[in-house]
Amino acid sequence: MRPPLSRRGLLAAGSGLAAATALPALSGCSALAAEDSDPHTLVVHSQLGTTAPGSPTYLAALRRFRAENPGLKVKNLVNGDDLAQVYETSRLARKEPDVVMVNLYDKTLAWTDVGATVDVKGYLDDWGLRERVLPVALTSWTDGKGRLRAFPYFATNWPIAYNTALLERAGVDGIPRTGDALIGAARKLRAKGIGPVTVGGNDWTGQKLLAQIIQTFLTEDEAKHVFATGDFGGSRGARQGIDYFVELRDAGVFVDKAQGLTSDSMTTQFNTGSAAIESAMSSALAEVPEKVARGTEVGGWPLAPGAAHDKPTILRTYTLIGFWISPNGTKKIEAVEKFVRFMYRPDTVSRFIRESGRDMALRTDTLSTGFPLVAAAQRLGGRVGQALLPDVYVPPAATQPLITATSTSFTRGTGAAKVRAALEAAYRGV
Amino acid sequence: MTTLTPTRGGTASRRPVPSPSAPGRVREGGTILAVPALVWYLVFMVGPLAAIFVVAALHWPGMLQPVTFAGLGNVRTVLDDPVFWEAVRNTAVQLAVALPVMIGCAYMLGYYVAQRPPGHRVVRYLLFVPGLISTPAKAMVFYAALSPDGLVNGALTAVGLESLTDAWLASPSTALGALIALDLWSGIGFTAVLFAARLSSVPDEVGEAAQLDGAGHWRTMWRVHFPVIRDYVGVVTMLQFLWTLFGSAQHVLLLTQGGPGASSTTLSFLVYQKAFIAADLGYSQTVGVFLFLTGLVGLLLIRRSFRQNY
Repeated sequence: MRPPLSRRGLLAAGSGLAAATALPALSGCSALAAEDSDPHTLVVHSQLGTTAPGSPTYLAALRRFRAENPGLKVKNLVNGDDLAQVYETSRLARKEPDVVMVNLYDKTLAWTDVGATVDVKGYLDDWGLRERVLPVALTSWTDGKGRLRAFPYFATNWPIAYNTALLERAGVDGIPRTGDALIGAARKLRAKGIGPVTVGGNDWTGQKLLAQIIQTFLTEDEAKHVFATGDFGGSRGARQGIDYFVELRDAGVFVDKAQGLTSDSMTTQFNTGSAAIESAMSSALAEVPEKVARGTEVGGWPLAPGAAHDKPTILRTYTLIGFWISPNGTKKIEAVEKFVRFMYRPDTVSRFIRESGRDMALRTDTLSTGFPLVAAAQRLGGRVGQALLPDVYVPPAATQPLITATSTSFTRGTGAAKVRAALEAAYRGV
Repeated sequence: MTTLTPTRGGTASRRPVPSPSAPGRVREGGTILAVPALVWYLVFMVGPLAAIFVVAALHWPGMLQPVTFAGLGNVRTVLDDPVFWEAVRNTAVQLAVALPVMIGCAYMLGYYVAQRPPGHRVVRYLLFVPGLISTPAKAMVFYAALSPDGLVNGALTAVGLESLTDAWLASPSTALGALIALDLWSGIGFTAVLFAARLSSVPDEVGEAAQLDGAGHWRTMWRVHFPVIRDYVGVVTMLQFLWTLFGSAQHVLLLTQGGPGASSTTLSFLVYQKAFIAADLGYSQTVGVFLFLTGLVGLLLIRRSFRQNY
């Protein structure tokens, strides 16, 4: 006699049950997603919120914003280096966050063009926030077609940090201001077992320092052209810059195996006193421990004879973080306005400067007294020359290959011609 | 009193005859139940496979950028790129070193464990430990061990070999070696346990007969047991080949991001890098097609060379 519930019947019942439970679950997903279009929920996508510099202040500011706006819910999504890619994926699904906080670099350069974010010039003027922003920051964030890509927020001074205590111990007189002085200092430092210049040759820190050294012989306009087109071979200044870099590298100015180090290794080496010099942006300067910071000074990168600048150079940028508004955000523009106005308030801006040691692209009188190195970098002013941060000029397709080419350039034994070829090859896909 | 005596072709009328439609009913029900799985397979397995070939023929410079048809243009770009050829070289080196060493060592370890020496149960568990650790955890262990002030350099200094210390992950010459070491460390134990399991089911008489004939363990291992499980060795080699070929992206991403330069970039990592970091999707999938064909060819070659031939 056949059993009442055969195996076939059991299978059929089981799959029916599974389908019955799965369908409501699937529709439950759309219920969750519906809150993205809820006008009382603001979704902010940023890199701040866990370990990035400025996160505690940002989270505290968010709490204050929520307290001041009880009817408005704010959701903070956090991503690291992959933020741009995560945002693009969500934009493809038309479920992107309303406000994105990210720098102008690589993939984000194309966002305004492809409609991933909107032109905020109109909002800036409507909300009367134009006077809050430094004019140079507004220019940096405006693209070739006159569109303002995002609301400027974070900026940075990017000097060279010199551990003068270590330099003195090695018998070096003061901060080197020429390439030859730097080579001499490196030799003395190595004799004492101290690393000279530490740099993350394997990632963006190496790329920025290499770009800065190459610009020793380039004016600002020449630099813009070279980084936008990759014409390192055709520009005499670029060729001289590369030769200068190779000379420094082969004289041992950079720590051993610099080509494989990352920004983390770089800051660790400097912060523990195993290397004497690093190229540091304000967030890195803010994290230098007090013991090391006491014996550290900031300055520019040494020049070589025939340089296009008359003072050692630092990098400076106003495009470190901006508030980009997405098409979804335009549907909740009142909530977005409240958020941006809150972040632009003088007291919020001052909190970032005082508590996290960040530099801002807005007008402010507050100084980073709690972060002596950041304050020292702010005071450098005209005592240093300015090199261009290539971020805004390098086309997105060339960014990653350029980082790979940088690592090759930092490898000792790579000749100047090979460095030039590697850098030019990075622009091949453009 | 009637008795039912089973006579040939006799009381068949008393026995229930299965109705001709019943088997048909069973078959129908079975097919319908398989339809969801078939749909799932088509959408999630065959679909993406076809998509690799489609995207490889497109010029797609970023997720939100407009898409245009590029035909074989991507193939030309890929073949002209020195980074691609370096990735090919690195992948070839990785497979040529990791596979023979892994299979050879794992087989020997498996044979040893299958002999049931004292403590063999503990050894089995120890061998399996890397298989229990997630890939990011394994990579972080190696990252810490190989860092300039990590375990490896510390051990070298402790035995007085300070001159050999190096930034293992930061040197173009040793970055790929570090990757191969990670592949070996994570693969040998697991593969050895697989071999031990298979060898345990080889009849003991085979080994005893060989020993009676005067063969030592080495001869027995390679000349007696190996041919018996040759097909199985082929399957395991094929699996490890595919795992190493396609799975190296995770290890590279976590350890060296393909650097310094392109010295530890493998083909599988190149697919990831070009798709998600550099956002050149057409290039990435062209490499994906190449990787797919390589996997297919390697798979067939391995299975053919390890065919059971006794």
